[in-house]
Amino acid sequence: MMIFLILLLLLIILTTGAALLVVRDPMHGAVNLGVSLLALSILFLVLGAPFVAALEVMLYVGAILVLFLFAIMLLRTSLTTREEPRWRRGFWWPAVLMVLLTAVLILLFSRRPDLLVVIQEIGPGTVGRALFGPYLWLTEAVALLLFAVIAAVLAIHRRDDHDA
Amino acid sequence: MRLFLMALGMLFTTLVLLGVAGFLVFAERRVLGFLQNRLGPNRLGPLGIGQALADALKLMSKENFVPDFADPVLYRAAPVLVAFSALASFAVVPLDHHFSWAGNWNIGLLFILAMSSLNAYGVFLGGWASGNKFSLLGAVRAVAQLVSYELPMGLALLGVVLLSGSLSLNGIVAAQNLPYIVLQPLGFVIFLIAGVAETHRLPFDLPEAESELVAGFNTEYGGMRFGYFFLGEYLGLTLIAVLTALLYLGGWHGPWLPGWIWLLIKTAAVIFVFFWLRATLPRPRYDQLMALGWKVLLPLALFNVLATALAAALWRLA
Repeated sequence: MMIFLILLLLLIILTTGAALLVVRDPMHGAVNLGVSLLALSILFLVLGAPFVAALEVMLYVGAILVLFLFAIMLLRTSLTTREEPRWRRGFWWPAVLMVLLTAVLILLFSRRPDLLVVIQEIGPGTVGRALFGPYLWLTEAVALLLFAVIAAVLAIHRRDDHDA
Repeated sequence: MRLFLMALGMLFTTLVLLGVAGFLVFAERRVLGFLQNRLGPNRLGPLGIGQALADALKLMSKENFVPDFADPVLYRAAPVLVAFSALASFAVVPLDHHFSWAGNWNIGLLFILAMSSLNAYGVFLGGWASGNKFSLLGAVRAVAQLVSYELPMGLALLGVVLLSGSLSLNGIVAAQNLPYIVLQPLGFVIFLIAGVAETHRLPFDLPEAESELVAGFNTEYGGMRFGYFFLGEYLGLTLIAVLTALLYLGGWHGPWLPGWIWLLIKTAAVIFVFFWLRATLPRPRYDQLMALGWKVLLPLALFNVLATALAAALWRLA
């Protein structure tokens, strides 16, 4: 039962990921990416990582993809034309890579045929203890990186003010 | 059998919530009427309560069509997404200690925040897919507003999580011997303001400001598709109100009456405050809205988290 759910989610992730390559409208691409990320978060949930699943939706779907959409929205050139999706030149390289990846995965799974899913749930408490325990220095390093980014944004903003 | 009962229960919960949302539309019109010294809809049924039903029938009997210039798939999907995300959030909301679908879920609060991001998608996909300038402007405004106010809201919630040590709504209510409005007054105010902005209710209804943008993101919607947006808005309002009651006002704790009645009373009081705000405050300019979010609420929310963490640490030391 569980394995079917997981396979279904993987199918959704793969189809939406592939659709991302062929759709013509950037907004449709973004929506496909969103569906893919949502399916991924459900996959995390099913595999016993509810905290990561929630963060996936909040951060990736709720914040990062929104930035893409924001740019796409302001770029919609014509409000009336609708075009059919077509196969684009840029499609072929990713397609080749995808076929290769599929081949690798098939090889991998043919060696280990035990598709038994063992799920051990890892709750938010465990994640927090890991982040602020053994991985404290890494967490602090990321915080420092983010601080640098904020400082850079402020600096860029100030220069714009000065120019104006 | 168990699955069947669960499905039946879910259907029942959904119907009750839809009924609540429909009734709130009527209640808002009536309360606004009284606040503006007029009567409001009072003809249909006792006290005019049948107006909710009449509104629903009107919306359902209107023609559903997709405009020629709209993106057909996304245009259809957006209203459903709005109503779905608002409804799904209620799964983690407990009515009482033993009465909820997933009140004990250890990521309950995160689930609600995640669903609110999905809600934002419904709003701006609807605005974008309509293929109308006003809708697009409304959608762009909605995105910026929702992203800007989700941050202070999350940080305000962090104060509550720090104090209670739990992300499940049951755990947070159980930890409140004293309602958190006493320990987190600043967090409460930030959460309420951000909540008004998240549900884009007046005075923060700039995504659909009718005096500038016709109706903003739902300009091109009619009939039941508009109804879904409407339901989503009122369900979101109910959700923010019930969250305020659970997180800051002590949830179902209260003397004499059974717990769930206390929760309903508190929720209704918060909803009344929302109506009151609508009748009282004018709409700010868009840059004022952004400045309030990023320059006032966000630093205050960060300060709130810092102060809460320090106080909690000192409390533990003492």
